[in-house]
Amino acid sequence: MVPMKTRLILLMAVTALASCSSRGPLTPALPPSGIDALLGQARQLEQTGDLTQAIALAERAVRIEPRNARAWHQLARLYRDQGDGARARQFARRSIQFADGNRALIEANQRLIDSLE
Amino acid sequence: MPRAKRRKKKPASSRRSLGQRLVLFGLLPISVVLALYTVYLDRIVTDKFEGKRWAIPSRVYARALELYPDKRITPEQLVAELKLSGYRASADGMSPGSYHRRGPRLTLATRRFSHWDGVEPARLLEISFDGGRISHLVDAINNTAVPLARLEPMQIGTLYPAHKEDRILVKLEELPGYLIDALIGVEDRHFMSHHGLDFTGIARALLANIRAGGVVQGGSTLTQQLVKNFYLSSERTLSRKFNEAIMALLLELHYDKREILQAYANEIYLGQDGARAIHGFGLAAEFYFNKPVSELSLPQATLLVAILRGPAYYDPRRHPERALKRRNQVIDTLARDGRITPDQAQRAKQAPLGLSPKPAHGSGRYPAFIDLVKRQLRHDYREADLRSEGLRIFTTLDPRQQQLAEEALRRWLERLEKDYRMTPGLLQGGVVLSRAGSAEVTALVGGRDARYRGFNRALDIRRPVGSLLKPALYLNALEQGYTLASPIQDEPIDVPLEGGRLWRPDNYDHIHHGQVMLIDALAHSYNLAAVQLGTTLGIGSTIETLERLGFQRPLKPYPSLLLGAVEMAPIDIAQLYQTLADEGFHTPLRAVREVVDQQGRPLQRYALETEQRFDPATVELIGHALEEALRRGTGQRAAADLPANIHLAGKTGTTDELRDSWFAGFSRDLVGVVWLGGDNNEVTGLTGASGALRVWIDIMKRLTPADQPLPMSADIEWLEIDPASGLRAGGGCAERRRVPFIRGTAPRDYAPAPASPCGALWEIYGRS
Repeated sequence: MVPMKTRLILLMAVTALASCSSRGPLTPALPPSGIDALLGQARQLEQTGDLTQAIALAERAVRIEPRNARAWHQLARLYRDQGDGARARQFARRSIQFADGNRALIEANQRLIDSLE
Repeated sequence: MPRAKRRKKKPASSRRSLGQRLVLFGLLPISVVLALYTVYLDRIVTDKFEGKRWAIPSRVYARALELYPDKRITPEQLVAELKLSGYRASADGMSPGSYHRRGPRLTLATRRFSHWDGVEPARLLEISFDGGRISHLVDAINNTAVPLARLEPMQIGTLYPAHKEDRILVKLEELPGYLIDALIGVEDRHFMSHHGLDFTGIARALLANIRAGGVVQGGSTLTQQLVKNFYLSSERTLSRKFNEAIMALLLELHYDKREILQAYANEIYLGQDGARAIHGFGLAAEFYFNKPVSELSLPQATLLVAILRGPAYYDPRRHPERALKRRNQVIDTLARDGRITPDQAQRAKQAPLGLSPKPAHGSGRYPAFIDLVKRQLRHDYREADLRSEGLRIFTTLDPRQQQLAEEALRRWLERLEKDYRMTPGLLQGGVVLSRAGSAEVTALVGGRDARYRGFNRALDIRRPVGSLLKPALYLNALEQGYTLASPIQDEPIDVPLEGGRLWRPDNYDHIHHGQVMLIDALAHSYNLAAVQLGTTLGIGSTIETLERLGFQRPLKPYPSLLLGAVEMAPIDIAQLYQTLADEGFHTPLRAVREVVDQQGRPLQRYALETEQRFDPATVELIGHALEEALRRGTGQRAAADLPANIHLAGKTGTTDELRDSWFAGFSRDLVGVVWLGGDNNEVTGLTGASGALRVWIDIMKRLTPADQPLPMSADIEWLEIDPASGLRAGGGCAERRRVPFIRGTAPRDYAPAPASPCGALWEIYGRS
């Protein structure tokens, strides 16, 4: 037999949990940032080959955050895909400039530049 | 039988009298002529209707505001943007084009918009703010987080409206039901059933006109009115009416009621805005109410129907009582026809006219910026294409920054005129703002009266620039092995010119400062030091630096170039300082993002371009020197009130006899250039610091968040230096300064022992 007190506590706990799960609309789970969303879409379009649209999205990301190294890197890749080596190189350099110690990104850019030689 | 027949025939043919024969033979050519004429009119009708003759101008848009979690924006700033775009405050913020603010929360119903790279659907957004940023962005219908929402951009003008005509084309579906009902009910009750002419209408009008003894009523159908507006001028002769009638019949023959109604809705003349004629409900809705036609309320829609009978006579801004009276008659008609309930009619009649303030002239709100847009487009398009194809041009203008810049300029010009006792109206100015990173021009001010489409000082003045070019000289020096601590001699120098003459420049304060550190020579803008250094390095190499920074016109290699004896415009300076702000990456300044044609296809990709032209760390050192210039150099007086955690850098420029006042500089995210002067080169008495810098700081401090230091790469190290010798400061030195160096370039030696004076302190005044 579960004592009354315990039942009450259990009841309160369950109620609390239930109200937790039905919390109001203004506290959603961690959303992707605006830039992440754009760059994610751009990467998808890069894979399907819609480079023009991908570039439009990556440029939009750069406009929102002109110092975002990943956005510049994405642009570099897209222009490389399009065969525009000159632009690709410059955007990769820009990305390095903003990479702020992100070794992986700096190296990715460097590899991209090297591959264009 | 044949005899009888012949006898029968003879009387039959002879029955035709001369008169009848004449009529027959007369009628034939007449009917042929009529038939041909009808064919001719028919051709006009179909040709014109196919829409090719409408001169649809290109629409120009400002940049679209992007909303996302963590975006730095306050509720007040967002509301200001929304208002500029024609959004209205409402009780719940749920109808499209409205918003509702409750403290740190804002509900916003955006409008659907076709951007050049995709459609942004209409949304109902719940936005929460915290600490000057967006904390949450939620789609209120689906209850999902929105990572990014783009508002529709503000339309800032139209380009090249041909024949002074203008349109916002609307589809029939966009017109509110009561607008159509009112139109038909008031103007042409049998529109849906007649074939172009309404004979009962004509009869009724005839009767009314006879009774009144003049023309008080037109019996014209909507079709006839369309013909009148469309093809013919406003003569009211009998032959005109005849043409009109035929063409109306032809129109109905070729096109159905929907098409005719839609054409009418886009063609009907509804008002005048100076030289610009307002045609069509779309444009009229914007002109009178600053909203899309689909959002018109019942009283607003009926007002438009009321106006069309006589847009000048019933002008609601000039004759509000007349307009209101007629509007209420239209509302009564709707009620009489059973389209609205008596209750709705009552409420509508009591509503005020609901007009928005008269908007600035169609392409006139930002003429200086539009001027820049036109010039950039002229590079890539034929003018004819731009004039008639209904293009949509998406630009980089930031309306809020533009407004700040305009107001700051106007405010300071008035104040400076007063303080310096100048003739009112004499002082003029130009401002350019652009974003670091993307080099997008966000604001362009062409003169103190920003609405006036006149001389564009931001683009077209050609004035000497004083010390604005010194950063190029010192950047050149750093590239050639100098450091910020390198000693430079601020001592008199005689420079031989062509023709054997000697040039003897001097400092503004006429003081010779002796040996100074390079950073101080720049920060305090010493002329002698600059000429000493510049002639040592060779003028050619400084010219080359200027070209790499982005100056494109030819430069003559005169030594006076070092002190700014070159004629430039604010936009030229903006390009140079853009490259400095962007750590040596040159990106051409751009005002246009994208252009799409009427079908939504991009006409030209204004692809982003950038080129690394300098070593970033070297440019960052110049940036630091320019920050010094502002804080402790020639800009220090004006910058004295600037909080220490707002990081700005820039250079003053003053010309001979104090005619031109310049300031150019940047924050981490924004580049700004200000010029002040008289249009006729008058002496203003202003230096760069006392004039342009005041405007510049006013603008930049409002747009620069705190705690955003200028970039400094990891290659840079800071050392304490003895300013007198430019060597490392040893223990016990009286004066020491922290100076940045690229790793490995800092001086290795220490300053002499404390016995010798470490460095003389000198008073520094803020004049360059």
